[in-house]
Formats: sequence, C-alpha cells, structure tokens
Amino acid sequence: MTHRQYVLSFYPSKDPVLVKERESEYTRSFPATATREQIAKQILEDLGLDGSHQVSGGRNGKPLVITRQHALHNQRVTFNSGAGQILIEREEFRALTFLERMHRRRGYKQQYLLDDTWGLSVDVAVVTMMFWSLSGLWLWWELKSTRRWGTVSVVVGLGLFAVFLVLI
Amino acid sequence: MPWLLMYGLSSFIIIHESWFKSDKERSWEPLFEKHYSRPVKAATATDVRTTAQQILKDCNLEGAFWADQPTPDTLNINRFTFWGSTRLTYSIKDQRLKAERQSTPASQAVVRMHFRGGYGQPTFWNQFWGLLVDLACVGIVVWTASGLIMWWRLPRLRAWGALAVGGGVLSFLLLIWRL
Repeated sequence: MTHRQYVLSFYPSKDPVLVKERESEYTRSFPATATREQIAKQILEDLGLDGSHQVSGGRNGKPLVITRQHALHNQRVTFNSGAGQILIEREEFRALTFLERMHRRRGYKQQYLLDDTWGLSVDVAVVTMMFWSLSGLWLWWELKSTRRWGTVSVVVGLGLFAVFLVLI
Repeated sequence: MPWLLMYGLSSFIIIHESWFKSDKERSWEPLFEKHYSRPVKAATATDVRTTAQQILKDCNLEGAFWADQPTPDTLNINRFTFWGSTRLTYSIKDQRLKAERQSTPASQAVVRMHFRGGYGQPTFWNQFWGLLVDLACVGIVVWTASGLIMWWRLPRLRAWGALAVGGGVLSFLLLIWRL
C-alpha cells in the first residue's frame, strides 16, 4: 500500500474490470416505506447471495447498486426498479485488490457471523503481534550473548520512534 | 519493536472503533488570519500541491499535507502531524489566508501512525518513515517465514507446529472461500 502507484503501473486499468454474470427479470415490488438497506437485503436473499454488502444509489430514480463483498472478487448487483431488471456483474480477480481488501476488511461491522469470525481472527493477529514485540524484550534479557546488540537495537528503535513522534 | 506495537495497537483501535469514538467533536482553534498574496494557476492536482507547498513554506509550516481547490477562488490545505491538523484556507480573490488548528486524541494519533505511508510527502523524515514502514513489512514477512524454518529445525515441536500451520492455513482458506 505504501507503493500502490508503482504496483498499479503493472495493471492496464486503475480498477478491476467488471464482467457480466447474468441479467434477469425481477418482479418483486417493495412498499414505499422500505429503506434501501431492506430492499438490498431482500434482493440478495432472493438471489441466494445474502452476505456482507454495501448499498448505494436507489434515490432520485437512480438504480439501486448493491456491492456484495467477497474476499476474492466483489459482485455488483444493479436493480433497475423501473424496468424490473437485475444485472449481476463480477469483479475480475486482481491480487492487489484482493490483498488491499483483506487488509481493510474489519469484520464486526456487518450482521453476519462470518464477518465476526474474520474480526476475531484480526484480534488474534493483533494479540500475536504485540506478544511478538514484547517477547523480544524478554528474549533479549534471557540471552546474555546477544544482550549488547539487543540494547543497541532497542535504544535505536525507541529513539527513532520518539524522534518521529516529535517531528512528523 | 515500537512499530510492531504501534501496528498491533492501532489495528485493535481500528477494528473496535466504536469503543474509542468520542461523542464530542473536536473544535478548530484559530491560529491566524492575515492578508496574503500569491498568484495561483492551479490547473492540475500537481499545480495545486506545488502552490500549497509554497504557502506552507511562507508560513513556516512545511511538512506532510494534502491540498485541494474545491472552487476556483479557494485553496484548502491540510497540514497534518500525528498529534493534530492545521487547516489553511486561502481565499484567492480576497487574498486572505486563514489558519486553524485541531488536536488529535492519543487513540487517533496511533491510528494516524498506522495509516501514514510516508512516501509522496516532502521532508527527509517523511521519506524515512516510509522506509521504516517498508522495513516493518519485511520484518513481518521474515517473522512468518522464520517460524516455518524453526518448526522444521525443532523436531520436538514438529507435531504442534504441524497442527498450528495446518490449522492456520485451513482456517484462512476457509474464511477466504466463504467470506
């Protein structure tokens, strides 16, 4: 992500191409009081695609766009209520997008158990990372032969970090 | 070590964002408002950035920033650090420059460190931060790979290691497949 522009230069386009999966009629009608979120959830259930998603459009006569999030490639469901049509497109797989998506996926924010599981795995990774850092201090103390190098490493690391806290 | 602790702590804050959210919106405190004159020929994002950098230099506020020109008459600059932001608004027509400052709570300062890439911003220290982020990335990859080497070299722990590697790979694949 720190070298995003460089990595993107290997791809022909900034965003992955959307490939049409299918287009079909969709005749279910919704009450005027139904929210975009309620409509989107119902559509996904009807299509057998229920899961983590985001909603946009669906106001001022614009089609409702549901981005169904997947780890490997997202799907875009466009519901045109006027024409009673549904269009489903799939994002072409791209390693960069996949890695960035997984990096940004937080879990817990969606109402699905799978997303909570992902959130829990991130929590475990956080605990492991912090344990890894702190266990280094412990090892440094236990391993007398490398204590001097450890001291240099800890002092330089903490010193540099402190400098950054002040300067940038 | 501090970088890994920071990435761990900030990830926790990001994923449990609601626990750390403050209901009180932080106010912008006025720093100065003065007459200022600089011709702006901002046609592209690069031009906008160049002009913004010159304005920051004139105000002794050089460092990491974002800039945009929402209207032909206004140039906005956000000069940020881990601990706060300075917002500069340059009204081109009136030739007025206004600066305001907002502080950042400690929990959000850690999150700012997480999101800070470094490259693409002026000053040596920003570039150096970017280099150390690269080093932290290499450290994490070496950490993972060295675990596999250690697992192979320690026959006493091989069964537990196999269980950890197998369980980790399987659960990751399962999540990727189902998510």
